[in-house]
Order: sequence, then structure tokens, then C-alpha cells
Amino acid sequence: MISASDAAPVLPERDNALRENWRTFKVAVRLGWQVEGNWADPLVFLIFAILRPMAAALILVLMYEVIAGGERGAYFNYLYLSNAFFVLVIETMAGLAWTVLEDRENYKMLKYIYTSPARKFSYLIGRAVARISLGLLTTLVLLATGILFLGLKLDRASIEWGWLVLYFPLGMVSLLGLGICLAGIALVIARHGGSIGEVTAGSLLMFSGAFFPVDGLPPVLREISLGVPITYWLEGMRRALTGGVLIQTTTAPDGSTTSQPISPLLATFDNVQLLVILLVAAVVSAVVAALFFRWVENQAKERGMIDRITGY
Amino acid sequence: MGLDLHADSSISTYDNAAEGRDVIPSGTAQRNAPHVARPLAIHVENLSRIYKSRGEKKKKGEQAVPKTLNALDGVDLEVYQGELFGLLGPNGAGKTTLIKILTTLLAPSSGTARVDGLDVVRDSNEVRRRINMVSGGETSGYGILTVRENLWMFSQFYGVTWKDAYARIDELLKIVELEDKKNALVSSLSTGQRQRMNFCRGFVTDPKVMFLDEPTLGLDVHAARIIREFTKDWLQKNPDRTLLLTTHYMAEADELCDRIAIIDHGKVLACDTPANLKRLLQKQPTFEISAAGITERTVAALSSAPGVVGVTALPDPSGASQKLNFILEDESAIGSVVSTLTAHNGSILTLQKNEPTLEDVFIKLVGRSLTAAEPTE
Amino acid sequence: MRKSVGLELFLRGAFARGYPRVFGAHRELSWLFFEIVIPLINISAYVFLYRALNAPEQYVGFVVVGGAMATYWLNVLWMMASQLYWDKQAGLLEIYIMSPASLMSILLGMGVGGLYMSTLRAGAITIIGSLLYNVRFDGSQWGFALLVFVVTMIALYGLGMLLSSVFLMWGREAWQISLALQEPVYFMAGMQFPLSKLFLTIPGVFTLISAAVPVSFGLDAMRQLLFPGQIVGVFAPWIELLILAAMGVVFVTIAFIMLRRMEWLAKVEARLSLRWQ
Repeated sequence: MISASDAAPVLPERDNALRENWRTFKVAVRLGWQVEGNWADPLVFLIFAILRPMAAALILVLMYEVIAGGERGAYFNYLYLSNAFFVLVIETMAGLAWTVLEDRENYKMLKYIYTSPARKFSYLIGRAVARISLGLLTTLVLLATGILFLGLKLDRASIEWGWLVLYFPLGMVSLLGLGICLAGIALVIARHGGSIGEVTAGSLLMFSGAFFPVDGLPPVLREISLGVPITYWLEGMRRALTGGVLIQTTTAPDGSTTSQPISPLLATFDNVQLLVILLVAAVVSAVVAALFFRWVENQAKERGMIDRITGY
Repeated sequence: MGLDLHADSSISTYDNAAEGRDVIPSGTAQRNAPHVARPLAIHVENLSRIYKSRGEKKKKGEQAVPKTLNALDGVDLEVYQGELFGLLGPNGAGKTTLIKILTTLLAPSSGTARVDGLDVVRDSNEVRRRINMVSGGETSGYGILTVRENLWMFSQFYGVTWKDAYARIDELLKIVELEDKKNALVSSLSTGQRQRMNFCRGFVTDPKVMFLDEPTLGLDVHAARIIREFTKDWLQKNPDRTLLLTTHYMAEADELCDRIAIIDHGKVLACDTPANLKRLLQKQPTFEISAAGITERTVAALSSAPGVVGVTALPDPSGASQKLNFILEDESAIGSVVSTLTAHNGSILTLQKNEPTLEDVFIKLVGRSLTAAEPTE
Repeated sequence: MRKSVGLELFLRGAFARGYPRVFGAHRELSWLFFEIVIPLINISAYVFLYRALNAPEQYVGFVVVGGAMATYWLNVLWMMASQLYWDKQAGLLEIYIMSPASLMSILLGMGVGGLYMSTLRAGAITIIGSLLYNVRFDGSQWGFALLVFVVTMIALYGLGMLLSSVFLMWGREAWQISLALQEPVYFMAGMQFPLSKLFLTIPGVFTLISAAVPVSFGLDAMRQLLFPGQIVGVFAPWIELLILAAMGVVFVTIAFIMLRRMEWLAKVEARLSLRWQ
């Protein structure tokens, strides 16, 4: 006769959702760091991590030099600052999409994540934290290098810390939302779409005013860029670090000078309006990401993509 | 066109003689004629392989102490042409290391290994023309190609002509029951189907020496049976081919292998036919008879019957009969046992021969079962 | 069963390995978007940057040609140099090594297949980019430009073979190094700006590194031929052609030696089947 003490061990009670998410997130963060960094010594790892974005920055610097010579005007600040923060765009998007592909195709772990009670969203975000943190570090290194060696002019007194503290996290939420959508797409495509995050981030160069003011785009494309949250985020970061809208002064052949915002279109938004736009974008991104990812997950399950290997 | 199981190799045995290697007369390997000298297909002498690892840091700041692992330690092995030779051993015994050396994927640390008379280190390219390997659980292949295309592609790395390749592929796919999937993309196959495809990959090149590393791992009963039947058939029809098989399935080794080597911690512990290996444990045959109407007199008569070494009587729990365990000098003595029993009015209910299994032999030699983590002794 | 040896085996192996890339790639068409549309958008970003800087219009042409060449560099990096690393993870490297076909023939197949895929992409990018941004090429020396292109490809894919031999030994370091070589080579090869400007700006040792990448002189020579008079090259195109030809010979020769050496080393150190390390 079976007594109470002979009964099967009682499973731990299901924790509340917040604790479960936090637990999954913590594990995923640790895993993400291990996966990203355990192939080399920390120093070598850091060098490699910074090499690419530094080269990308140097490309822009040289392009600027080719045309403008040694002069470092407001446009240089515009270009350099945008590029420095754009690193975060790349790392967030690439990080999330690559996590899905890596776990599915390389480590073949995705199916085990999906059959476990781990919270998938928290897992994804946790795994991407390593790359996002690296992105942040790279941005800081780029800014320091720019100031020390490449002629980036930033005055500490001009930095508007309040706006910086507000704009930065809101922009990151939008980025994460977009990254999660890309991760969802990565779930249902073949392996050679592994660069989906990177190439999508790269394409945003066109539409975010990172390299050139959105005013220079044809009308249709300009409208697209005004619908991209990153456009406002980069503008917000530039303003917060330089103390306001960047103004370019040009000298005409007759010696007269004219000053105008580098991006007159974006200059029409004041800081509060930028903040509201970023806030709305953050909320919409989060909601859309949650709904889209859920839908794409179902598609992936129907098509058997959770554990499919597609490399060639 | 049927599967060309009688394929003649394009490699002349006289090439070997001309180049000063061991002369291997073709067509003389006969699996069922042990008295005829058979050439060696695989010859391993004092083979060792040491792995070095970085070791672990015990404390922060401490230098990691490099570790070495003797994966193979002075292994000697001879496999004759036409044999289906089994390699049994627990995980980490050195089986895969040995196969990797023989298939030119790994360099030995010392000793020599020859396949079809050719040194695996010095003549690796020539060895490769004569061998192939299939690993169990292998799911290699390009997902974007069809089954047929994948197999064709792998055949090209061995220089097989397109006509021969396609004919062979179609026959092999029929045998492993993948014919209906020949134009399916590999990415759409189940794991078992991919394994069967990879099994075909090994045989499509008609190798002289074939290495199967747990070929039925993860396959269902039916698929595993197909693989085993094909393996036996292939060797039967091609007596100049040789097959080295590693497996964890004792019954498979017992059923298929002409000889088996048991390996553990990089050393060969025993190498013989399955029957002889079992005799290591028990030289005399034992029988168990369940009989009714047995008296003490019957037992006494049985113990002095010709050819009987010993007999023990155990009461059957049901009480209706008795179990008698016999140790005989020879199998033929069972006849005298039966006649003695019947002469004393005993009636035989069941009769069975008890043999040690290969697993018993394994445990005796290795000290633990194939899957046990700790030694039993 | 007849089995080929020698040159016939070499060619069979190369053809077979190139087959998945030439024929297989067309079965999953998502690459059309990712590897043509997205690079075009990337190029467009640089075009608009030059226009925002009021650069002379020929710089647009430089960026389009540079963007097309970037396709080949990425292909060499990811589908040749580190391809053996990916094949190792998939368990295919062991099958290749165990076969009598040489690794050179397998890499040649990869290279030719990759060249085909990249040419489709680069061609599409060049045509569409030229139409979108009104780039005018001078066709008077198209034969010379084509010769420079072919020799550049031989040198580039030779470098790819050389890198792949080194990557045979590595685990994840191979992947990280490939990642690290992307943008830095874009910079060092002057993909978005004239090479001569780079050589005037960076220290001498870096110019040597830049010169060692075949894309640098190949791109510089092709720009001089396709946009004559609009760019100052580092050397005259014929000199750069000779340098590229020499590079091709050197890289392929060293690749042959290194592949054998690295394969042997990988066998001694048991790295041929190390996965996800």
C-alpha cells in the first residue's frame, strides 16, 4: 500500500510570472556572456569587439576628410556622434536575430529552450544583453577616441544630462522591440539569412539620418525615415551631447556666411516633442514586438522551424 | 542494373607487390575457410595516441597544469580481409580514436597502422581511395540539396563516374527504403532518414575497407535490421571486402561479427570470436532442465551419468517440478542425461542451454557494464 | 567500378563542391532580398553621405563599384576562409579529409561556386546602383578592366584558400577573426573612397597591410579604368595588374603548402573534429 511518504516528489510551485522572467533573464545574460566571450582572453576579446566599429568610424572620418579636408565643422560632430550611437542599433538587432539562429542551427539548443518552461522573451533579451553591453562600451570608446584623436568637439558644460537620461532608455526600448521582431523573422528563414539583424541595421543607415540629414532623401523615403523611431533617438542623443540642434555655418564665395540646422526638418521638433515621440514609439514597439513574435512563433511551430537545420 | 556487389577494385594487388608492400593476393579471402591464410586488411602495431589538454586552473591566478590522456596505449590488432570485425568498449575506451587514426583523420603518437597494406600516415591518400566511414547518429549533408544530389556529391570526392554513382545510389536507396525520398531536400528528412542516407554515403563508393562507428545508433528496429542485413549481405557477396564495426549493442556484435576485440582505457583486453570469448567464462556447457517425478535416486543417477560433471537440484517454487542444473563435459552428454531421466520415470518439461552472454564477458573483462559509470567490482 | 585519379579526381571534387552553391542557392530565394536589396541600401547611405558633403559626382561611382567589390570580400571571408570551420561544425570536414579528393579541389569548388553567387549579387548591385544614381562608366577599356577583375579574383580567392588553411586549426577564433576582418578591410581597401587618399593619411606599415589585400589594388585599378581622369590612383593600372598577378601566384602557392601543413597539424592536435569550441 502506498503511503503519503511514498508519493512522487512534489514539484516546486509555479513561481509568479515576474520571478520566472527574472530567473530566465539572469541565466540568459550569463549564458550570453559565456557564449560571446569564452573563446579568448578578456583583452583579446575587447580588442576584437572594438575593432569593427572603430574601422567603420574611420571609414566615415576618411570620407569626410576626402571632401572637407582637415576642417572639423558641425557636420563632423553630426556624423561621428550618429555613428557612435548607431553601433547600439547594430548590436541590438544583430544580437537578437543572431541568438535565434545560433541557438537553432549551431548549438541546436533552441528546441530545448522551447520545450522548457523558460520565458522565451526574457531568454532572448537576456542572451542579447552581452552584445548590447558591448555595444555600449564600444560607443563610449568611440566617443573617447573621437574626442582625443579624431577632432570630435564635445564641451562637457554643454551636455544636457537630463535629456540624455530620458532619451537613451526610450530609444533602447524601441530598438529592443525592433530587434525582437527581427529575431522572430530569423526563426522562420534559412540559415543564410543569419545576417538579417546586421543588414537590416545597415539599411537603417539610410532612413535614420545617421550619416546624412533626412532632408536629403527623396520625399517618399523622407516620410519613411520620419516613421523610424531611431531617427528621433539619434537626433535626441546628438542634441543632448552638444547642447542643442547642430548648426552648420557655410561661407558663400562672396564671403557672407549663413547658418542653418544641419537637419532643418528635425530641428522643427523641440525636445519635449522628441520625448513624446520616443515615448509613444517605445510603447508601440514593445506591444508590436510582443504580438508579432507570438504570431511568428506559431508560424515557426507549424512549419517545423524551431529545430530545422538549413545550412549549405 | 543490380547493385554491383561483385565490384572489382580498380586497385591492382600487383601494384602493392610492385611497390614493395605486403602482397595481398586478390580473391582469396574466404570468410568461412579459416585454415586458408587470409591477407591482413587492417594491421595495427603498438599504436598509441596521447591527447594533451590545457588543464584546469584550480585557483585564480594559478597557471593551468597541462594534462595528458592516453587514449590508445600500445594497441595491437589484426583484421583479416573478408572479416566483419567488431570493436566493443565503453565510452572513452579509445574506439573512435582508433577509427579516426585508421581513417587518416588523426595522427598516432607512436606505433604503426596499416590499412590494406598501406601506412595510414605515409600513404594516407592511397588509404583514402580504399576506405569509407559512417558514424552512427551522423546527419551530415547539405540541407538545400536533395538526397540524390548529396550522395552524388560525396561520390565525386572519390572519383566515381556519374553513371556508376547514380546507379549505385538508386540501388542503395532502395535497400534502405529511402527510394521515395530521393528527390526530397535533406532538410526535410527526419533524423533516422538522414542516418540512412549517410549509411548509403559510405557504401556508394564501394570501399575495400569499411568503418562503421555505431551505425544503428538511434535507428528504429526495422531500419536497424535493414542495416544489419545489408552489412552481412555485402560481405557475403564481396569476400575481398572488410568491415570494422563499433557498437554498443551486444546482440548486434554477437550476431554480426566474426571476431570481436574488447577495448578499455586504450588497451585491447581480448580479441577472439564471440563463441571463444564466451568460453573464457565458461569452458563447459551448462543446461537447465525442468522436470517432474524427480527423486533423490534420480538425482544420484544423473550425477554419475556419462559426461556429467555436476548436477544441482533446485525445487521449483510451484512445487510441481524440479529445476536441475547440469554441467557437462561436452554438449553431446545431454543425450545420456535425457536417457537417464526417462529411465527413472522423470518427465522433462523444459530444457534449455545456458550460455554466458557477451555482456557477461564484457563485464568480466572490463569490470563494469557498457553503460555503467562505476565498476561493479 | 572505375574511379578517377589525378586531375580528373581534382576536377570532379571541385565541381561537386561548387554544385550546392551554384544550383542549391537558387532553391532558397531569401538571399535575393538580403544580399542584393540590403547592400544596395547600404551603398545608398554612402551615396547620400557624399552628396550631403557636396562631393564631386564621381564619388558616387566609386561607392557603387566599391560596394559591388565588398560582396566578393564577404564571400571570400565567410564562404571560403571560414567555410571549413562551418563544415567542421556540421561534421562535413571529416568526410572531406577522409576522401581522396584534395582540400584544394574542395576549396576551388567553394571558390568557384562562391564567385558565381557573388557575381550575381555584384552584377545586380552595380546595374541597379548605376541606374538609380546615374553612374556613367567609361567602357573604352572594358577588356582591360575585365582582365584586372579576373586577376583580382584569382588573387582574392587565393587569399581565401590561404586563410582557410589557417582556420582549419581554429575553433571559434576563426569566426571572430572573420568578423574582425570585415569593416577593417573595407577601410583598408578604400571601398568607399580613393585608395590614394588612404595611403596619404595612414602610417606606412598600414599601407603595406592594405596593399596585401587584393581588393585594394584591384578596386583602384578598376576605378581608374572605369572612371578615367576622375581619380588619382596609387599606381598605374598595368602596374597594379602585375602586382595582383604576383599576389595570385604567391597566395595560391602558399595556400597549397599551408593546407597540407595545417591539415597535418590539425591531425596531430586532433582539431579536425573539435566542434563549437
